[in-house]
Amino acid sequence: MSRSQQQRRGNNQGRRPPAKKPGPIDIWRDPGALPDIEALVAAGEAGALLRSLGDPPMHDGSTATKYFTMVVQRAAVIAAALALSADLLATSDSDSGESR
Amino acid sequence: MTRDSQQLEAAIWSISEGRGSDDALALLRADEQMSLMLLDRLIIDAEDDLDSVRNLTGDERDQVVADFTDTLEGLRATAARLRPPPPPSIATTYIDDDLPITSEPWEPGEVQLQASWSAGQVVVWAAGRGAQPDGNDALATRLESIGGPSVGWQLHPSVPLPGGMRAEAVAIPLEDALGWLVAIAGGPEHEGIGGSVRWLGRAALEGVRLVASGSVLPNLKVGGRTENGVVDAAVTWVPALLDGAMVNTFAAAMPGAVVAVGGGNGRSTAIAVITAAVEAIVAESIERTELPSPPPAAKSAMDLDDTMIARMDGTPFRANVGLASALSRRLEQWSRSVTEPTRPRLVVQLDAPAPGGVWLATVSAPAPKGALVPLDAALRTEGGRRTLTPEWQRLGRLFPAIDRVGVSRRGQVAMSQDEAWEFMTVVAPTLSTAGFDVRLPALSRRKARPSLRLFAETPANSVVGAHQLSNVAWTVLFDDVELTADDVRRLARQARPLVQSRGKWIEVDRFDVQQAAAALASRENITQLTGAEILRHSMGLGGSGLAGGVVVQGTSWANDIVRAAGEVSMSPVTQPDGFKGALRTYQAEAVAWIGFLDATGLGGCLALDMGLGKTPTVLAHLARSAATGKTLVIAPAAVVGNWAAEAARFTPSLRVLVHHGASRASNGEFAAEIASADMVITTYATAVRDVEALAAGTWRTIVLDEAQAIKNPASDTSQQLRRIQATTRLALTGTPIENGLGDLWAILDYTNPGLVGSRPAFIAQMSGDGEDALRALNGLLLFRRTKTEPEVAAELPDKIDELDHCTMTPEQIGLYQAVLDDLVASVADSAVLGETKKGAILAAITALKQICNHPAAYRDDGQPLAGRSGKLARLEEIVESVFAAGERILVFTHFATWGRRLADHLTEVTGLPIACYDGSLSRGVRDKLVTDFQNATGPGAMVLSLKAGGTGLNLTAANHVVLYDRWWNPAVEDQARDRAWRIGQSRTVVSHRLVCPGTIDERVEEIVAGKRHIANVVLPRSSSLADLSNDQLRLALGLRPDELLEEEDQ
Repeated sequence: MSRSQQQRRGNNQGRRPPAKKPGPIDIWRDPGALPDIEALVAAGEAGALLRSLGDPPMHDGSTATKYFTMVVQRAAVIAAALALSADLLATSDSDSGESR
Repeated sequence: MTRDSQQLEAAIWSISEGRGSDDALALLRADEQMSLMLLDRLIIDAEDDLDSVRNLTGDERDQVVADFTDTLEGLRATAARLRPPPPPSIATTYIDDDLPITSEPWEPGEVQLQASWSAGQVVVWAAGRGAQPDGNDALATRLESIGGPSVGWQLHPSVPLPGGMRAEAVAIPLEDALGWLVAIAGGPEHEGIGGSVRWLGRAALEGVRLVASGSVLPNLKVGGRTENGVVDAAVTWVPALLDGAMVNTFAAAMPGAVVAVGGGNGRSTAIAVITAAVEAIVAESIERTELPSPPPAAKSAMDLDDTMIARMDGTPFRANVGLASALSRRLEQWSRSVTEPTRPRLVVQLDAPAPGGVWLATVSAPAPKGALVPLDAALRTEGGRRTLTPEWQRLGRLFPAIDRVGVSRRGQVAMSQDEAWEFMTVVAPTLSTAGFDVRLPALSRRKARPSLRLFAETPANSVVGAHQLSNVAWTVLFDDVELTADDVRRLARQARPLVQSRGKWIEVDRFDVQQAAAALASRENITQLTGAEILRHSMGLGGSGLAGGVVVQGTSWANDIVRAAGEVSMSPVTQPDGFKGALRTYQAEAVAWIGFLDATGLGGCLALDMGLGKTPTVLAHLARSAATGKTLVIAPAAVVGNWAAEAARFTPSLRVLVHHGASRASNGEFAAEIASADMVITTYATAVRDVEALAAGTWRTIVLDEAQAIKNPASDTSQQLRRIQATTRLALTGTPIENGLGDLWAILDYTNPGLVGSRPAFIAQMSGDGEDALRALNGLLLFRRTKTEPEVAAELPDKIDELDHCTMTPEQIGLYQAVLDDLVASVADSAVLGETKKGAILAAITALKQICNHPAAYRDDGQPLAGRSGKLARLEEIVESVFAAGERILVFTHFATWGRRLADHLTEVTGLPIACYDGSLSRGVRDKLVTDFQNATGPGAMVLSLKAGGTGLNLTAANHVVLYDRWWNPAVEDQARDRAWRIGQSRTVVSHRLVCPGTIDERVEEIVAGKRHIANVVLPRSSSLADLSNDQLRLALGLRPDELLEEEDQ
């Protein structure tokens, strides 16, 4: 057993079966449809996740945050445009049920 | 990690290493969701480890790879024991030396487009089980036909299929196919597109979803090969807040074709596609972002940081290995709380306020079996502190109030209503975006609409009717929330007033609250109202100052009226007794509405659009109510004959008396004359003249047809007609607001004197355009239907023919008689014989027809046209109604010179340019007239000569046609009407034929109607025109006083 595995498993000492080839692939396998698509919601503040993490651990974290946020916000707009072009962007709903 | 999750992980390892007991499996199954989340994380780690160790070199490499492969297989097997088994394999083959593919019996399948994922590329091929796969040409055609990307494709090695076949393939980088794949994912199922294409589209869409919510973070990837302490590094962008359950769902639903080229399992493939989509979109974003220039070399920590920002697009750069590795680790630690698949998700819950009005926000941490524990308690445990602190810190950055000074327990804060609304509308969406589970009281962003509520209570045994006194109470409604004056005053003091409606919190506009307070204050002393006053309020005529008007509830005469009116449409009268004919749905409803008016003693305005059949509708009501009393119909002279004819047709059992003309009964005889009649029809002029006799009668119903005749309440006609009393006054008009709300007030004030209040107050309260007023009153004092309503249009025939009887002015009658006298005198001379006599008679016929049109049509004296012809007056009425409805009309005459005069006159009267299309115009001018007419919208008219414009033209912009004068051949008239009623016409075409009864005009009408042959008109016995005696000429062409409608009767 490699050292990394020993570290991962701690005190667990298991028997290792010999390595096997990957399982067979059924090329025509089609397990069925995915659940219905939920429309995409464009974030009101796409930089929220970045903001929640605080400045990145760099010498000028605030500058880095500024650039990262700029990129993320632009990317969010592009993503929303992609969704809109596929008619998958949620329109603003006046009401919201209790969110759970 | 909590103690529970540690126990679960230990159980996972024991089972995956083959030493797990039944108890261990039972433990996992007891908390399957958490166990699978842990397993998913461990599998991802194992996959990553395996990928890493495959890059190793040296003697131990094979053994290490085998170790990690073993670990991965064990974990996967454990996950498989917890998850439902996948569907059984059907066919297996080998796609390369390492990937065995099974083969079992199968039915040949359809060739479909398939997509496989391979090293960041989408490999596309087309095949079906047992079917010959597409070659590259067919594949290209197939891609084009379904809108695949037109560029970016490269040939790819063929894909091996079961049975030894191979499918030719092309490949495209994901970034070039992203839009197409997302469109496939969002579009409907498409024949010929296999599930693998849709699956890849859906996976890519999840990447798009993550980017759209900002769930993407930068990382620094450091290469493994160092050289003189320098290493290759590159910025990568990774998805965050990846939902492990979602990835599992994708893995379970992955078609085999997805991994037919690149191999891999469902989870790793789904994550790879999602990540690739994220990277593609971020790359596009960075392309549009101006980045600073990188320093020459990333040798210092500061330079490395600057280089990372400058190389955010992923361009590789060389950096000091120690610095790069350290930065990579720090960034990984910085983002770990949102990139780990098993991260704990804090729950932030806002509870509705307690009676004291304080809103409480609390934070909880997830616990095993879906339970929640207060954050403060969770943070007191060692495991909780380690796993929850990063999330707690993240929350604090976005929602500082949760940890503000004065908070006694971590994760619990009281908020004011103002803060609560701010939280619900601003902070909560941000927290959700950042990955927190936010739970709010139901919230409505819809603005609550205020209205005044009038609640009436009527004492028992009070007199029912408009004078009934009821006790009333006033409150305000914000949607369904009822507020007293005290409530409103309290709300007005709040900085951000909220009310709870239908279980949802709604913000109330402060201005509305102030208005509501003022409305209640001004009515504080109004504690009693009459039935009429309450009814006026229920129609919105009492004013409220609030956007939602007045809602009248409770018990009173007015409430009963409103309730009964609301039930009218639910009980249409489809087959009234005594009515011979079929009513359309809206007519049946209108009959029920007239019955409602009759039962309640109210009057009303039947405002069906022109052509919708007001006359038969009223007749249907009269047929079933004849026994209750007599009806007086007052109508323009032009339609008196039509009323009589329609009554004979639809209600033959009604005894109808037409009271007009010189031979009508005198005032003294009137009572006896009408004694046996059910319905008396007269003209406005006759009604005014004989008002004493009519007012002395007892009428159940008075019907005013074309009620715009009383739109001037000060006119003599309006004043005199008000003297005639009836239980129900019914006004008929297609244009109730022809000149504004004043017209409507005049009509309603006639039908229900005093009920709708004063004219200025009525106009002031009926805010908005006239149609708003019609909608507010519709169904109560007014019944409005238009041809543009789809349910009405659906029942209408393609075309409606109406016959309008027109009056003759004294000038017309005098001229007509003079021409006839001249003719008789000229042909009396026995010397005038044969063709000469015949020619004179034919010329006279033409002259008489022109006189019926207008004296100026016979001999243009250059004088103004207005007031000299009954036909022209009727045409003006029709044009006015058509224009009021915003529609367009064609007017045909077979006298071209008269047509031009007519066009000029109509231009002058209506203020709109109205052209005449006739043979004197050049082809180009005529074509332009037609084009302009067709392209224009809104009110418009064109006069056409029957000869030049009667055939060939397409004038479907018009849906009204007037045949101003008649032609002997009905086919010619049909052709004229068909200029509007033809292909391209989507509306009902209403055709008006104008006829002067008792003149040559009517005899033409008889011919057109097929009653008599042309010869019989002028020749009592078929012979020659020249054979006619003077008496015969007068009989054939002369005026018939008993049929003639004289202008003074109008």
